Amino acid sequence: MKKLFSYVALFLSIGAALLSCGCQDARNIDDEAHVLALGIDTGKERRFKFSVQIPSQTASTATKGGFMIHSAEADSIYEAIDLINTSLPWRLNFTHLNLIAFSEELARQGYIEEFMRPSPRHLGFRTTCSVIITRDNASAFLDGMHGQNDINLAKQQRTWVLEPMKSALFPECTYMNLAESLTSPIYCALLPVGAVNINAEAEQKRKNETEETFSHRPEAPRWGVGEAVSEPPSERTELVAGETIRESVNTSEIMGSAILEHGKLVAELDASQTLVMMLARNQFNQGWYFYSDEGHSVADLKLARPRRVTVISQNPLKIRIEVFLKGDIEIGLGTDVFKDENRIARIESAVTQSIHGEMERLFGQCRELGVDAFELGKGVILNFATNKEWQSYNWIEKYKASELEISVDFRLNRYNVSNESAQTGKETKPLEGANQGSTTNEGKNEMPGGGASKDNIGGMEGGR
Amino acid sequence: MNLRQGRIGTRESVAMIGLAVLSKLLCQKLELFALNSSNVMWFTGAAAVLVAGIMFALCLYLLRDGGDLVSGLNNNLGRLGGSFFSLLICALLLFSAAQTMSSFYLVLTLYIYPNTNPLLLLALVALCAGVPAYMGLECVSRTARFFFPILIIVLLCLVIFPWRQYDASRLYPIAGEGFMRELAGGVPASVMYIDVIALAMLTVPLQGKKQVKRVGFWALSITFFATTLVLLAVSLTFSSGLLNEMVSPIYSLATNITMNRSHVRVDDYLMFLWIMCSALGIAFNIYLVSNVFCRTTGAGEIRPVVPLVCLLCVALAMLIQISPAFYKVAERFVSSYGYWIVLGPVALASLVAFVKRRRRPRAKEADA
Repeated sequence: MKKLFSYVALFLSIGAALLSCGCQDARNIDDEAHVLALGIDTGKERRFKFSVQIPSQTASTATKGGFMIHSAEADSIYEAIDLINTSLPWRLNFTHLNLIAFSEELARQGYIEEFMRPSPRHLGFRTTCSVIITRDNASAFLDGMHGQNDINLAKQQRTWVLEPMKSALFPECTYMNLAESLTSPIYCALLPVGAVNINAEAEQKRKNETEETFSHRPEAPRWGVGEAVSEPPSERTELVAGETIRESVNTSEIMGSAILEHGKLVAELDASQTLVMMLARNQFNQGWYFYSDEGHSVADLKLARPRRVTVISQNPLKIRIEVFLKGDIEIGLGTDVFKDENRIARIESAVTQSIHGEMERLFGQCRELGVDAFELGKGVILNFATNKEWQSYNWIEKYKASELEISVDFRLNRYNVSNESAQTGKETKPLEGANQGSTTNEGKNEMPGGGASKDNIGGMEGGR
Repeated sequence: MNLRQGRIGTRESVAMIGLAVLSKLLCQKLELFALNSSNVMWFTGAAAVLVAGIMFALCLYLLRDGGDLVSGLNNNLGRLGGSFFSLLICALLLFSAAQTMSSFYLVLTLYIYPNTNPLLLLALVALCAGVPAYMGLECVSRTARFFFPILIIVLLCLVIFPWRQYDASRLYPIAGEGFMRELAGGVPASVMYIDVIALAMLTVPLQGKKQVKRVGFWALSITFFATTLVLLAVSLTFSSGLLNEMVSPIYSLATNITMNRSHVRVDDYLMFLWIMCSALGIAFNIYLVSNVFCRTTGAGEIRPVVPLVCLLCVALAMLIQISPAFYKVAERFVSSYGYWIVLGPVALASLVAFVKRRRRPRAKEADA
């Protein structure tokens, strides 16, 4: 009897465990449509227009590149989901969401905060999904992410997420970062900007008409950056989303960034400004810096150490920011640039000064806007022991009247010098003082896309 | 009396208490440490452990004359007083179990079964907890020993994997609302360690006071380190503003883990362990309440009492769900003053025991 009872108890517990693993409310993969990207625009009839991008199980004429976009206008995301669900044989599932795209118009009107206020966490997406601003409407951006060829869209979106680690052409911003910027003054959201490339789009249209394939076009232009460098600074175009010179089946692209204050778009930056902004915000990891010095034109920048923010004086507020970079120079065959220490110092000085100048300009413009885009507050808050002290300090007001001392420490790696000195027995040391922000700029240097020649932040009003 | 509790080893006991405390602390009551400001909750937890340690030391003092905490309270506060306070501690344990059950149910409805009938879910949880409790303490502790290392590994993953999202500035201002104030805020949270105190009620299955002491020390140490590390990870990952909006910070932490291109599915493991740990924690509480009830009322058989206690727990959990007003009052009371329900009687009994012990030699001398 005792044994029988134990067996019954055992089966009951196993049964309970099985039930708690999902037999009830089972979610069949056939019944779910996994949303990969969500686009949010301002609606014509209702407040918002929501577009969801889902993979199609079967490629057909109705689908483009194996993906479908469904849109609905509604006042809230939940309402839109219900509307879309009624027209589909599946139910939308957001657990695999990679990207949320807000249209520029929506961001400019400050609707992002409104969208996020009734927290959409019940949708089940991870807060690590990326958030971007699109210069066109968001649904067009999503549509441009895949051409007629089959592209692994999920993989492409994940690659985009990793790209800021390599190139610094645009920053990474997650839903959590955006939510954080809405709740605290020391966080400022820097969102990547996406757009449908006008050149690629036109090329795509033309290609469709002539039925030519990409591989048959040997005269295809190079990636826009390289071409822009060879031009004089005054004639360069900014490297901004939607305007790069490239050809691809994928017409959408991400480039540059947008500064948001309390969910409202206040300024847009091109790729070069974004690189400097990422440096100042401690988001920079690695990126290419373009300058011109006797034929050597590319430097590979890497972060040497995280930035350091020090408060020099609290009243009036004076802050010092130090960024530490190291880099390599791309040299041509047969050049002996590394044998000439003065020339290396000149290059270091040129790069340093350019970054220094751009950072100073950006800080001045952000201060005027009253936005702590450098997130200096993160460094200043370390000097306060309690929340009460910090709140009574009134950070943003103090920031508007603050002064910033910038120090850029950039050192080029000297591989060849070491080899040379090993042969000659000379000891090589990094040049002291040659790489500080105050050194004179003898070399002709520019940021990618002519950022250094740009005097102001391309604000909302900036036309395309 | 037929208390089928068997004999339990140190590891089993540590695992059982560890699971009960961690499932409660990390999965359900994280906000206890964040009453004022969540950026300092990692060191607020230290105060809670300190108070729990004092309570446990007082319990050990009561065990000096032999027996367990129930007999210690009976001997020093009288049978009526001792029984009353023992049952009061049991009531607190029962409420804690109901709270765990209710929070667990809430998480199930939110994340896994949004459309399932709540009664069915509660019945499921009660079954998961009731069956091991019915089978005895040995069953609960042996199962706990199996799951405890897995829970520790998953918690370590939760601490290590989100390192990319860590931002030290989220810990500042370092003293929150003031260092002393934050530490004082952690004192009421010591009520979450009531399972460690409950160890002192189990000297017989734990094979004596020495083992109770050892188990208590290890359980407190492990839970302290695990809690502090996880709280630190949560504080480093989420800012105070975001934490205040979260239903379950630890679940959000698990879902946020990414490794290069792919999300790491730690949340599935966490959810599974959450289910098992909560069920085992509730089972331990149900068993203990039944045990103490039987001993204080003189009931001979524990097995008929276990289902009744289980039903009572479900009823309480339902009441919490049905009546938010009741829950708010009860929860606020337990969160703010619950630790006095343990600390008060134990401290009083310890004082009486101390005075008695001081008088005993004199009485012997007088007799001589």
